[in-house]
Amino acid sequence: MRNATVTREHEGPDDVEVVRRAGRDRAAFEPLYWRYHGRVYRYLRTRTPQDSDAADLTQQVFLRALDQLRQYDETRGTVAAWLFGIARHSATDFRRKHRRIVSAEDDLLASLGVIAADSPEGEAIRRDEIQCLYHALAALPSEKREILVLRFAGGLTIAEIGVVIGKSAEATRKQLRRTIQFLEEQYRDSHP
Amino acid sequence: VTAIHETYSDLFDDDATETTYRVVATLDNIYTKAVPAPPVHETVLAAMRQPANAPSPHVHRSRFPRPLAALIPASLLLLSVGVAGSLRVSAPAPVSADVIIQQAAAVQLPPNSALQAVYRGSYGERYTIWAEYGPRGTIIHSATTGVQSAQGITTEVNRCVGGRVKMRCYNYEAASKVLHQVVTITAADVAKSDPSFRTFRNIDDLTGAGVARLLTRLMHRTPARIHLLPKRRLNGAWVYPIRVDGQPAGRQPTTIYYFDVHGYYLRGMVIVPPRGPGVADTATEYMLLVRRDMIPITHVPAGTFKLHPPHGNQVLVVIP
Repeated sequence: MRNATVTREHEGPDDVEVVRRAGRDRAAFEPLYWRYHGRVYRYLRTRTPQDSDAADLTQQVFLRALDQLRQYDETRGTVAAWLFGIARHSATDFRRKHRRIVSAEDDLLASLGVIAADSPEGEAIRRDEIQCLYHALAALPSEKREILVLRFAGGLTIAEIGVVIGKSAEATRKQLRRTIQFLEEQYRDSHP
Repeated sequence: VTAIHETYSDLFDDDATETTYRVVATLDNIYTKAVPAPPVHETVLAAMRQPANAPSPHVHRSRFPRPLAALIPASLLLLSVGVAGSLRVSAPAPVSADVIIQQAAAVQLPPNSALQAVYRGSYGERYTIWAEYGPRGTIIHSATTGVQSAQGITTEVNRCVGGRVKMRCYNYEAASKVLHQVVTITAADVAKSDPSFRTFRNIDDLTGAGVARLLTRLMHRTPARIHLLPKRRLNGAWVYPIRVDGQPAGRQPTTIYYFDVHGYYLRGMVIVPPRGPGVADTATEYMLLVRRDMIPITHVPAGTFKLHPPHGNQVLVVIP
């Protein structure tokens, strides 16, 4: 199962075709919005302190994408990677502007706390498992955490993550695997 | 093989163990399952309908300073529940906005009773509203409490208590333990802060028949702004949606009020920001009724209408 593809949650024309059509008629962009706005929002929610910040940034990402349709180059990566590249820039800008209220490392954990609240699945996974992972995630360098976020919240493939963060797919795969192994070790230590 | 295995098959190599599964499943829970659904961005959808060379709309974060922004919906909703009556109408189904508004305005709440209503907001916040009605069926005490929580821990509280004309409010940020105390707030303050509600001159405009009276005035003044939309279900209950166009159209938000088809009380409201290039923009906001109970005054918990501000590093904010 090692190199199996990530499950996709959409149907209809493929992303590249949608972008091509949208270049001629912006209304054709709509399937991409519905396909990705939840995933982009989830990613941005982990990079911002509040739901409303993530909502605003998500809107910004899609408006920017609409304005930059002609800049998309399919030889450089998938549409998903292109969109998340824009999202990553938006999040970076946001954090730069709100440095005083978004502390460098704590906001992500704070965001995770918010996200974990009211989860319908929350009872299925023991609270201490989540707490354990919170602590382990806090110990991770931000670039490793971001790979996790892009994989889990963004639903990107390893190759797409590589495009977004500017690394090869193989290097990204190794880093993601090492990060998961680190989290496994932390988990085993706290659940002997 | 579970859904987790299928979704994250690239993370399960030959060495994967039960611990791998637990870690991946927990990360999935943290990062995806528990994230609330994002709002739909009307501005993006509108931008898609514009010609390719149209200028992009500006994106602004919020119409209000944050503490006041949080107070306003609660205040308005408190007033809105003035239309939350016990009248059961046996007349034929209304066919116009005018008829629905009249029915809502005519609703009388039982004297010497209390109303408790809980609303959920677009950002997951919850507003609990208490109103006590005197012998004449008008509000004599009110209390609204808006709470934002994370992981079962309160992060922010907005609370207003008061009577017919004025309310005292505070905004408390639990994380920083900062208390923004607002001495008084009236509908006039609301009107200054939100141009879309400029028709509210004072709190008396809104008590009693509440929103319905406002709509009645609007109906007489600018009937073209008010529209009855097709009857629909809202959270499983049938409602009459009344749309009030912003004025000037396309520059101010459109508000849709959802009136219960039986009791004519407000089951929710949605504020849709204006669309179009160059228009200041925010996401669509809504408030939806979660529960609503009429109870005898004697059953109202003690202290319900006291402000009870929490201790904190107080910052006094007086709304001009």
